[in-house]
Amino acid sequence: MKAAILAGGRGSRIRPITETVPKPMIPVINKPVMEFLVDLLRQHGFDEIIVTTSYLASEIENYFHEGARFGVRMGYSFEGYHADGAIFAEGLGSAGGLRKIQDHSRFFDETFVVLCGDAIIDLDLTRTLEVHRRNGALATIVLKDLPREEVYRYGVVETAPDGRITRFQEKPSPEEAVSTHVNTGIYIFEPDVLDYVPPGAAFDIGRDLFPLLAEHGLPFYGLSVPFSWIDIGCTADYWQATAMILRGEFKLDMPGRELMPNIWGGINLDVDFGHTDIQGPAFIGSGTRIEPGATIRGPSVIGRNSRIEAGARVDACVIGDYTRVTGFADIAAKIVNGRFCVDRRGTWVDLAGAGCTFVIDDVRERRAVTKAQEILIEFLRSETLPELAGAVR
Amino acid sequence: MTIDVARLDGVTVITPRSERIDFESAPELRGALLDAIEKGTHNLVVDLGCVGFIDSSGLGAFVSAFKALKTRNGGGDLRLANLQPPVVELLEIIRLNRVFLTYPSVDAAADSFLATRH
Repeated sequence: MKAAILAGGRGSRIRPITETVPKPMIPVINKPVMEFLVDLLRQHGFDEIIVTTSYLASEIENYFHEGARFGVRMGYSFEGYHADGAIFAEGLGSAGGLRKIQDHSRFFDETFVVLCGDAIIDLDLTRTLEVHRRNGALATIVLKDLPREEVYRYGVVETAPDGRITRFQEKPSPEEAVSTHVNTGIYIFEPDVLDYVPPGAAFDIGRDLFPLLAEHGLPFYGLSVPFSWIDIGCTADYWQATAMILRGEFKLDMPGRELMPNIWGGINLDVDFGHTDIQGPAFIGSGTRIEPGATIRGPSVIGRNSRIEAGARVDACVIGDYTRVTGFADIAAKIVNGRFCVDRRGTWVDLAGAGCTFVIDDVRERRAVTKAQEILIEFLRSETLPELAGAVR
Repeated sequence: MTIDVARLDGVTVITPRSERIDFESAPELRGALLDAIEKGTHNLVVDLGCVGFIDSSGLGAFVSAFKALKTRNGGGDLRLANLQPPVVELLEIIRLNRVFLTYPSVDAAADSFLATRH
């Protein structure tokens, strides 16, 4: 069976993490979000997956390649062009992108699934497909009921008792919303639905196609089924998703081995559990060193080949790969990605830009310490870490 | 960079009128802070309402002032007011918020000295 993953978005609400990583490749416990979707599709018999890409497309294509490693066959439809050495996105919209694939090869020749590449789900796709077919639907949206104050970020639908969608609103205010059933970005489509998408034009599934289907009274259904859905739409979502998985609130096989109760890790670790203060749930990536005297509080993820030095305090954080967190750092509820330290509200600090690489840096960097940094380091040693003086380099 | 200096009931309030305090503007701020200390102030408040970015040089200016207060005037303190979120973040990450107390407004920072007036 066939499926499409929409993976071309810019991910502006999760900047600056998406400066270097496209949203579908953001790692959740060291595994890209989109890989969870590919796994799910394979489990339900979807073995031909077309991925629409644009922003940082090569990051996605060079990870999944032809899909063989993931037990599926994968292809890519790049939406954009190169000019003067730069890459430009071509705004075809989500529906326009699918229409482009259809015009290219009539790829969608049977009922197909469409997933947004930025959410982790455990939906029973087989059962969803059955309901779609039983309804004789042209299109089915999988819905989720959310608290009213959260609906403004999503498409909201009004359904008749038989599940038919009578109205579709894209991102309404909580007051205007006709219901609290939101579009999860999971769709089952018949190929004919693409006849309603104009060729070669910008056309969005939520903004253009769905209101059109509802207006024309076509067999367009909403389906509410119980399933877990973690949308990685913004920085808070990303932090929350990681915390939920670590706490076991979203059933998922943890990668690596359980080294201590509630602490999982990869291989080639340098952690002396007798002299480090680690409280799970936590995952420590392969090749990472946690120095004696470091403190880690869960739920936290430490990336691969990173180093948490003596005196550092890491509380409920997601630390990226190749990250050095020194004893000067005290970080709580943060996402550390390269030079950026981002809090749950999306406020971020560029530590390299602020000349504070002696606090958090890429572990591979060798840098000279400036005069200003030297003054600050000396001061921090004496004023903020008297109990650790000597332990902190 | 323009730096405003005001005396307010025994407290000197220094307000840098710049979005950034970095290696270019930090020496000026440092100069203004040390100048106020030379003139005998013990209670310094830096109003960071305009400042969205500060780097290690800017933090170094606070450190110089802090040290000068302790050594030259035999005591006193430097407190920060009106911080924008990225500045708060940076101070918290490197634990400097434990050294330089922060307040939501200049008035709150100035009032905080009343209890510990030198």
